[in-house]
Amino acid sequence: VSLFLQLLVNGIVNGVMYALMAVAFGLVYRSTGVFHLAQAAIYLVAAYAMQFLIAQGSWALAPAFVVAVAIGASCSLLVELLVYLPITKRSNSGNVCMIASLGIYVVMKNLLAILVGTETKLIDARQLVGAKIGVVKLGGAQLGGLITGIIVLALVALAFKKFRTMRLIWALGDRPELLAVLGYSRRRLHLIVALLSGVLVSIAACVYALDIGVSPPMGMGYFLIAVVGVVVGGVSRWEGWVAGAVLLGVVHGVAGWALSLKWMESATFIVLIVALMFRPQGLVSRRLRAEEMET
Amino acid sequence: MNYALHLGVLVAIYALLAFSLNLLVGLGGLLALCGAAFYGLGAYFYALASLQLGWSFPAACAGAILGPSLVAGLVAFPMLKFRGDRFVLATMALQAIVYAVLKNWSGLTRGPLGISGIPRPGLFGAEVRSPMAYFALVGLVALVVGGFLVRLYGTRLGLCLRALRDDERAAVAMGVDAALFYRVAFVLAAAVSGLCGALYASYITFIDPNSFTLNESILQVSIVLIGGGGRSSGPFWGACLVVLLPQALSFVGLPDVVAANLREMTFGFVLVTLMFLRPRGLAGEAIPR
Repeated sequence: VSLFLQLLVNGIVNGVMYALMAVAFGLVYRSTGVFHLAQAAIYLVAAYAMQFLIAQGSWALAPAFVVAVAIGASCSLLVELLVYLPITKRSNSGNVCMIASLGIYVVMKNLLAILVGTETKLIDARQLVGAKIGVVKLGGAQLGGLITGIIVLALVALAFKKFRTMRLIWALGDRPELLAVLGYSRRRLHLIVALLSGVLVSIAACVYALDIGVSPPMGMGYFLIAVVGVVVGGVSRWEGWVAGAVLLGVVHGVAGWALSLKWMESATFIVLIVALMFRPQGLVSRRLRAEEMET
Repeated sequence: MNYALHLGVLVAIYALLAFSLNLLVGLGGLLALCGAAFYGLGAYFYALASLQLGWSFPAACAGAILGPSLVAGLVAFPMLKFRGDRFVLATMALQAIVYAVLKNWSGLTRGPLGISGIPRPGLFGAEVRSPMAYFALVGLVALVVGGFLVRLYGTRLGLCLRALRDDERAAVAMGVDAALFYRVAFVLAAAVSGLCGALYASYITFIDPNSFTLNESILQVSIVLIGGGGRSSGPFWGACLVVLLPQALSFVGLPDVVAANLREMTFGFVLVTLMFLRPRGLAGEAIPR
């Protein structure tokens, strides 16, 4: 029982991290229509930046975290400015942007592998204090990640409720041409989305790097979990992205307990296939008409 | 000379993979990221059939074609209900699950250790061992099967796939059975990928799951996209570029590890550049302005 509880709590903590990445992906996907595969590379950039600043630069945790998030967010902005916006101007095919995004991911992942190597780089996070509740133990990095994740998700919820820009971003995914008619700059909104997405994915990357380190394959692994979280939860509501991601975290925990840790990754995709087949509109969503379910 | 023949074998295998994937990606417009799954299944079917069951080369190849075709036929029903990003995701899911099975079902596949000592092809009582003989065999298979696939591009199947890619709703309204044509393309692509897997396994004589990852699927799709989806010659030029371009790096004297990363970086860079300049690939169809 104690092992089950421990894995369940680990799953929930992971789920909160996945939720940050899911919101980062969902924002770009829902509002600009780009299947933002380069997000996996931005994850790596932020995580490696943090690891480098702490291990090589002997920076303290807090400033390294802030600078790494800023570097990741800048990367996201650059990708939007230099690749997505020019390509969207020339071609309105989502596939073209997705393939370009795939290219960016491949370039950046391999560049990082050349620069820092392919082995897992760990960050010394012993200064973070953990906690023990009953039979369940949380490491310092886990507890820090959980608290950071919950605070950031609460801020996202607040932003969606209070800020007009967030409503405009949502509208960008529904009727972009109408926004232009009403005098809003779509380019500006695209850049805000890229910035927000970059910040969220970089926070998740830094928190995760503190807990388990960073290696090149991690970016795509966590990106895919985030995408599956968005699809399983339902693309049409951001609450669904969070619910889907947390559910995946819990499924990972339970799969690790019931089967074996080596089948955890497969569990993600089995959940995806089941969701696509039986609830394509997602967990937190209204029922779609047949013509709305085409893509 | 042997090195040139080795490159020739790789070009032939990758060109054949690209010709088959071109049915789905180029003609059908469905970005399938599960090519390496069927390629890997073919390689494992061949290795297990020839090592554990003692099947001959033709029989093991037939198994390597039938096995992935059967899997593709089964998964095609749920997967081909999706289009666009969801299809991409579903194919990634299939790729991840097949990789996990190859890696974790140690009792059958020997897991990460891989399978070694895979028999080389034996034809008419003689073993195909020399690079020249192997190049001739793979070249012949690539010519026959590749030629068959190129012929298919111009048949009703190819034309209907193009129509579905350009406007599925209009094509269906004109009487094109989208489910049937996509399913046939999917199973055919899997069958040829399986055959390529068998050729690869019998050539290298060692396979492990790391040869059949998502990265390999991305590489195969890159070949089609770089060469130009939809065109008959596109996959061949894509395969030549992807296999031969990295060889230029070996003349610079870089360590192997860096060279592998640089090779992938080159593909990534070419992909991004192509999306700016020629979104339909080097030999791709022109986009009407």
